[in-house]
Amino acid sequence: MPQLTKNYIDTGKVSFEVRDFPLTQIHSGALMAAQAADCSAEQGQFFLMRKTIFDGAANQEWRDGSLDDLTTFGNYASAVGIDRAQFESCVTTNRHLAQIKADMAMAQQLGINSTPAFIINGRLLMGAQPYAEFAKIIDTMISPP
Amino acid sequence: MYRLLPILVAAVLLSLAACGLAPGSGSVIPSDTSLLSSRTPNPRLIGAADAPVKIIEFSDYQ
Repeated sequence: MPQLTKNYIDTGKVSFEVRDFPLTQIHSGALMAAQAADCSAEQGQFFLMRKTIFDGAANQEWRDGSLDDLTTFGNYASAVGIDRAQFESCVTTNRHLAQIKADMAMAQQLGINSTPAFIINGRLLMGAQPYAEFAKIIDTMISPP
Repeated sequence: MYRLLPILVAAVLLSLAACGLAPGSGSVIPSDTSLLSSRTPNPRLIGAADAPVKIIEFSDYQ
């Protein structure tokens, strides 16, 4: 991601948007995590919270969307510098559940059934990919052979 | 009878407008501003919104 940001996003060639596709059948905490990220977006810290959530998952700091996880996400909110009370109200009232469901419906319409999945100018790319693969596709789209 | 026609038409239009169905009311265009993706700027997007290449990642968190 740092190379993609430096070479393509910061240079105005690429925009990068994140949509939610929590795999709720196998990841019981993913829906709350998506809500936590979207509620942080309200306060301008979506990408920092997203990274914090991923790091926390790798360290098994949260698991199943329990009340303990809500506390953990609240701690993350404080750590990334957003209003914790506003954040927790947003999560517990499911303020962005409609957004998440809309994202999930879009993913399903596109035939996506796993993550990560990428849509690059309409082209579907499934699974985690090395920077070189993104660069090859982007370069082809910017300067067709 | 015909004198009442403009009043009748106005009443019908007002009723349609109240239901969001009047011509030009714009109600046929979906506009859910509660959706993050419809906000400007989109808080889940980095980079220039008019960039020639747009990447959308569908993300899980676990």
